[in-house]
Amino acid sequence: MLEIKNLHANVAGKEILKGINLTVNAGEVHAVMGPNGSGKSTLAQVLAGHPSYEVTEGSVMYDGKDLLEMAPEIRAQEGIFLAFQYPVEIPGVSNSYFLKAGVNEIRKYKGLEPLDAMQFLKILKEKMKLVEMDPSFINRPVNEGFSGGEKKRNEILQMAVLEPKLAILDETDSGLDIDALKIVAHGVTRLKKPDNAVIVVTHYQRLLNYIVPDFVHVLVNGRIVKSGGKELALELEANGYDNVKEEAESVAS
Amino acid sequence: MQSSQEIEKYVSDFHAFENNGAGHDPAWLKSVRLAAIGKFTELGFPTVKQEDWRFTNILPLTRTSFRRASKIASAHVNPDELKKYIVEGSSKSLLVFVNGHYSRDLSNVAALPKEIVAGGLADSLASHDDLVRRHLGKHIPLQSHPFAALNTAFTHDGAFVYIPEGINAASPIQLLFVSAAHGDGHAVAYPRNLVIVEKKASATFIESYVALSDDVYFTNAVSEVFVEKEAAVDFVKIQNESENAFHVGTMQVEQGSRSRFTGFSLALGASIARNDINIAVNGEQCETMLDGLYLTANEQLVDHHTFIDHTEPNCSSREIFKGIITGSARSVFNGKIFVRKKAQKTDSKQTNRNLLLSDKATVDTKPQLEIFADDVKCTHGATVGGLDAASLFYVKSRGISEEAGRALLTVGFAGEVTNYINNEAVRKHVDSLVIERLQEKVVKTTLPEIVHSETRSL
Repeated sequence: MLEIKNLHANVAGKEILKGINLTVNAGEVHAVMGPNGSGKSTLAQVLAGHPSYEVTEGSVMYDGKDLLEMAPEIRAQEGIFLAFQYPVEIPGVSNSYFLKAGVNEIRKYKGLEPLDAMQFLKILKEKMKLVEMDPSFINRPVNEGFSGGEKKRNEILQMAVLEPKLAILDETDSGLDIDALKIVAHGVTRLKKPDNAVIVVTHYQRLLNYIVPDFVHVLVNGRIVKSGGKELALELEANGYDNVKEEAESVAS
Repeated sequence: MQSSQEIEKYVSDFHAFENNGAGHDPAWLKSVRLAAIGKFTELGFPTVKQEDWRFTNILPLTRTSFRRASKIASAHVNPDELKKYIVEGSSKSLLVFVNGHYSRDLSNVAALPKEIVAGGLADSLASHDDLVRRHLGKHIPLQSHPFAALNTAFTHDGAFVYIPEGINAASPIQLLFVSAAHGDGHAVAYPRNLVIVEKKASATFIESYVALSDDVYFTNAVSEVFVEKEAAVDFVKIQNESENAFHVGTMQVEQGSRSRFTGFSLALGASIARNDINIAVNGEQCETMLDGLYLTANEQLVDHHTFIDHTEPNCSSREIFKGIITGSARSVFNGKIFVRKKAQKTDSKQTNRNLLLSDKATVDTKPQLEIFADDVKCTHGATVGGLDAASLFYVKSRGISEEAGRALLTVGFAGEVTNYINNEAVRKHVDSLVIERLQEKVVKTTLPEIVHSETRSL
């Protein structure tokens, strides 16, 4: 589904991604872990098409198409979803209107009829149960006055409604207590299907107890230095990132 | 220096007015008017050479000939035409004025407590002469406001609302100023509004200016609002004049101790609009909120000059003005805040944010703080720019197109400030006017209703 080859990316002139290679197939859960500043969030945002990042080398093919050529809204319409680390507040516009607008644009792209208010509300209420959101949230402005945990749950709610093919969770666990974490993880695992895939970007292993990965990749200084199965995450938890950094340096030299 | 010919026209109109329209007014008012026309003649119209008018060229206004509108037009206004301008819940606490003249037939104050006096100023000159005389013009600095001086020269009618001690007006009181076709050249109306809210009383006011046609006319309004000790007043001004009209409004507010004033100015219409809002915070422990939203398009010019004068200690003020400017329009914001030496522990915040949606749109923003006390907290900030890139990316990442995304964020930008209108019916009315205007002038995609969160703090 996703093929990243030798991806290099800059922000404000500084190179963050220094040659990423990664393949994700349908039905898989990939975890991308690494110390702070390694480029994990950058990778997530570059895949979603954040305007601040400049790709200087490499390619990303999504379902055989050139992802880097697509505008952010097209990527979303093609089925890519980024759960933001810092979701944005949009005063004045309700959560429900915002999501319905997104859903219908995606449906239009796929050649489907738009959902009317009633149909959409029915789907929304159903999905809200998945992330244990209070129905009153529907009419509140997007993320306004939401706690950190509520914002993250709102991201997963959006994901549940938009049903992406490739979901990228950017440090979705940061700032969450264990209860919120469980709700978020539960939501994500419920949405997992054989024809979609998830990339979980995280610093801590904790989330991966609940969203069990098929593959774990360690990102250090803009490169994936080690890949393995879910045990790799437990190893990192036990030994920290320094071991892996050293290993990477010795392999390189 | 503008032509004395232009000034002369107003002076001869003044003489016609004194001899015909205002014969029965009390002597004290006649001498106030005479002094005012003298002051106006002395000052003349402001020019761009004066600091307070530096960015606001009013030549199109001064070069047009206007004559004071007579009372005749009221009879031709069909009440059904006014329905859409009336705020929900205000149909029985409504004062209607046509071309500046009070219309008893179109007004209805049945819902107001009987203690409240609400009607036309001309009528109250007879019934409440003393009350009017003690308040009218008390704080208007005629010296520096030629338009206020001109309005004072023609003061005769407008709104008069008196809320006695301890009375609360549950329904919002709407002062609806309608401009109707005049037929005889271009009309100028001089509404003079006097609102007195006594100790511990409270009310919400809406002052709306609307037009029943696209005519060229001139509204020169002065509103004086007295908020006495421990009173609470919410005051929302909606300027929705014809796009060919000129609007100059001066609002003068005085607050007594422990009172609360929450003002809001919505500027949508007129070819040139200038608002001067002056608040004299003349008591301790007052709360002053002054917010506003201007949507300026095509070749409009909208200017807000505000002045919050903290003269006493332990008061707080918050001012948030937002502008959405498109086309080749221009907006001006000048926010002056004085904190006098005695006004220790003043806590004042001022923000002006402008969204420029086209290359030719311009904005001039100037905060002006003069602080003479040494134990105060004063912050101010102004921004001019486009939509926030991070917000736009978030919206697009949900599949929403660039155009629709910009529209949503523009709605959000406006909704953030209309949030500060306390009364729900008034807020909804303002929101729908904003959406209608955005739809007409600013964005092509369909827009949602503005929604608000529950918190509405200082």
